[in-house]
Amino acid sequence: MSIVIWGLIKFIVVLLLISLYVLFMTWFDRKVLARMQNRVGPKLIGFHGLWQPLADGVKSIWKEDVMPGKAYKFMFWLAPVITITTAFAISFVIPFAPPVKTASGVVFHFSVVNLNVAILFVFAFLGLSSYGVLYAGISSGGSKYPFLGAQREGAQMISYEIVLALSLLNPILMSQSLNFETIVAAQTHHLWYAFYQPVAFVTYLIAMFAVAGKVPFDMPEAESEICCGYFVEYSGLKMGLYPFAQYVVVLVLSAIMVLMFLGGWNGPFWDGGFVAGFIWYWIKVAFFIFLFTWIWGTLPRYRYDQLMDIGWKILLPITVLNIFWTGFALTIGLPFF
Amino acid sequence: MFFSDFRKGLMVTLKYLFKKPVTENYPYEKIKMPERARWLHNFKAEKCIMCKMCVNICPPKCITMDIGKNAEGKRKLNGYDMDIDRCIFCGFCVEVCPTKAIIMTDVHEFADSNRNNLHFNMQQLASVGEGKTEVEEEKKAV
Repeated sequence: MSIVIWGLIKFIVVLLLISLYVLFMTWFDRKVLARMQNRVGPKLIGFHGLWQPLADGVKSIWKEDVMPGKAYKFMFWLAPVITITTAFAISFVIPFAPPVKTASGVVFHFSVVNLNVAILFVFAFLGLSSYGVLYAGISSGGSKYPFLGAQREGAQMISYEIVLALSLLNPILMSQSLNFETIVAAQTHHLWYAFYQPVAFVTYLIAMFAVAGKVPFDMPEAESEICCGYFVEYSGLKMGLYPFAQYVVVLVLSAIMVLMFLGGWNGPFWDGGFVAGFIWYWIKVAFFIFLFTWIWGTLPRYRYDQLMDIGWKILLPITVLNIFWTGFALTIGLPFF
Repeated sequence: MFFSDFRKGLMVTLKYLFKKPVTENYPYEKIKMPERARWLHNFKAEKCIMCKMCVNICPPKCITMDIGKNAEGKRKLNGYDMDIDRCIFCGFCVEVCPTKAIIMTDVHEFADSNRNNLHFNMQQLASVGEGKTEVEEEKKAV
């Protein structure tokens, strides 16, 4: 019974914290992008424009909710719901801090559920989250830009989730576990897996951007080509749910990157203890979240055929060969494995 | 191979991230106008000799001069109206004025939602941009 109550409490806390994080991230993105272009960004509402996201939220609530006449109403409503639900579902298996051993000897996990198949769960729901985008494109009543965006999202997800999964297979093989906390624990006694698996690290880094749909792989919503792609026909709060979900996915993918390859809450020095672990973990995650914004401000968009070429002709063969190499090294027991 | 072009680009944006933004904080901090800025006119009736040169040269014909007679039968300036709504700020009236009775100031924030408020009469024009003298105006002309 206490498991259910604790689960509910954690659920609500994580829900609120992530909403807060997304609000802050919209401000952070705009501010950093503006400064990279020598502008100042939001600055009027609150301290350095910190309340700007709230103002945006209030504005989008009062916006007129327009729906195309030919839209499939049920699917049109369902699409943002699927997107946001799956995005939140992924975040519920991510540990937000190192586990703590309480006085009674019970281990307290800082994730809503400490799944033993957390990585499989993540992949399942990442795959499902593209359904929200596909539905948005199909149900927009034959409007061509949402349809093109949805097609691109489908193709991109199929190509890059394979790469993402296959590059995560290497740490999984090495730690023999699908649980994030076990994988981190396996890296405490070794070097971090990024040092054993530099190729998988880089391929995951590239696939991460494609799966999150961020620059330079923001094909589904390419503003300059198909004017925001799949959510063109949406307005107001429903439209806001798509960027919202995208920010959650960015957080989750950054957290997985840190947990799988960069040793989670292990630091290069000043190790052990809850506070140290917490700080190391969030420094690393924050760096990758910043990297998304940084690359957004730097790189242009790849062409569509280049995206497919990178995925199928370069990354996929490399990751498959890398898995063979990992298996080989583990089988014969190389000293570093 | 080692993403060196990516690295270069990323370093450029990182450098700009810590530079000072070039944005002017305009409505909150006033911009200093250049010395030869051509904005709202200042008109000094006591210097005017009623030659009507400004009225004739004004391309959009926005200056109206009302010349009457005083008790001694001499010419007297009754009114000098400028329709700033139509003014193109060319500065011809300032150039042509023989006594520098009309000069241009750096007062530039006079936008209004009502056109009637952009009709300036003699008294209003006299108080525009206090402190700007024709000495400055002469310095400009040099």
